[in-house]
Amino acid sequence: VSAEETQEELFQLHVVGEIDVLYRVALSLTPRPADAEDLVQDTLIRAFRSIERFDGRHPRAWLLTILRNTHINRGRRRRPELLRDPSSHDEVASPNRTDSNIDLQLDAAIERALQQIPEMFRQVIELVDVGGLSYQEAAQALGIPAGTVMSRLHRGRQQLRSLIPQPLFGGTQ
Amino acid sequence: MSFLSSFLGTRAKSYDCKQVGKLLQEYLDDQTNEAVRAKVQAHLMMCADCGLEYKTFLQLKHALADRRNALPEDAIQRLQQFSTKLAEQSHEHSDETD
Repeated sequence: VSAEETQEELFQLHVVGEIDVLYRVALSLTPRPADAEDLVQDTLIRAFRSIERFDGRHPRAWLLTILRNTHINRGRRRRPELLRDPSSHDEVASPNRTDSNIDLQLDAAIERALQQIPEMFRQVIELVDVGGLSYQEAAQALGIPAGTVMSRLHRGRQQLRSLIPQPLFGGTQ
Repeated sequence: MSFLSSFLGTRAKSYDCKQVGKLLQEYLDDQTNEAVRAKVQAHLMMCADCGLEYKTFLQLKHALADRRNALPEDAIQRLQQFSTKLAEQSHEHSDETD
């Protein structure tokens, strides 16, 4: 087994399966899907180059750190990002929803509410509640303590709830 | 003695609405320890208001998790193809330099 084959195998083993997670996190960091895709591509390149130095422990946390650093470096080279464009968000959020159990009215209300809450709360909700990351992984992605992730998540949920009419919650009231 | 233990045990399990309100999100995320979890659970079973609050947040959490399927497949496919090319190009490059 050559060194290059090992590098490919390691990349396949630790990185390729995390592409979904990386893209979802990238979408929460940057407003446009095309920029998120570029960000993930840059992250993949960096990960590939350094995979042989990676100790194999906690690959997601390792990749999220690379993603965050890549995002920060890209931000230094480019102009500040524009405010989130709702149409670009729709492009990501709407296609091919097949789960028939989704309450469409509640879903639409959540979509609107997510656009209304502050960015720092929306980010952690998208990473933890939507993306399924742990507090620790979200902390890694955002470069903040896990306790801050938790408090932002809790406050963000409270704000979402206050923006969604109670009757939409399964007729619980 | 057993009555006293039982009484103290019941008292130890009770939380009021304010305490449960503070712990509800952690309970929802399964971040509490077993003892706290049991106390919150006991309160939620007895208190209709807190029970409703819990159900509301649980539904919100589930609705948010349902959005997890919304990633565009074409973007994911492009990124997977990109990672395949990345590995292939590196391999070709190493062949050229051998």
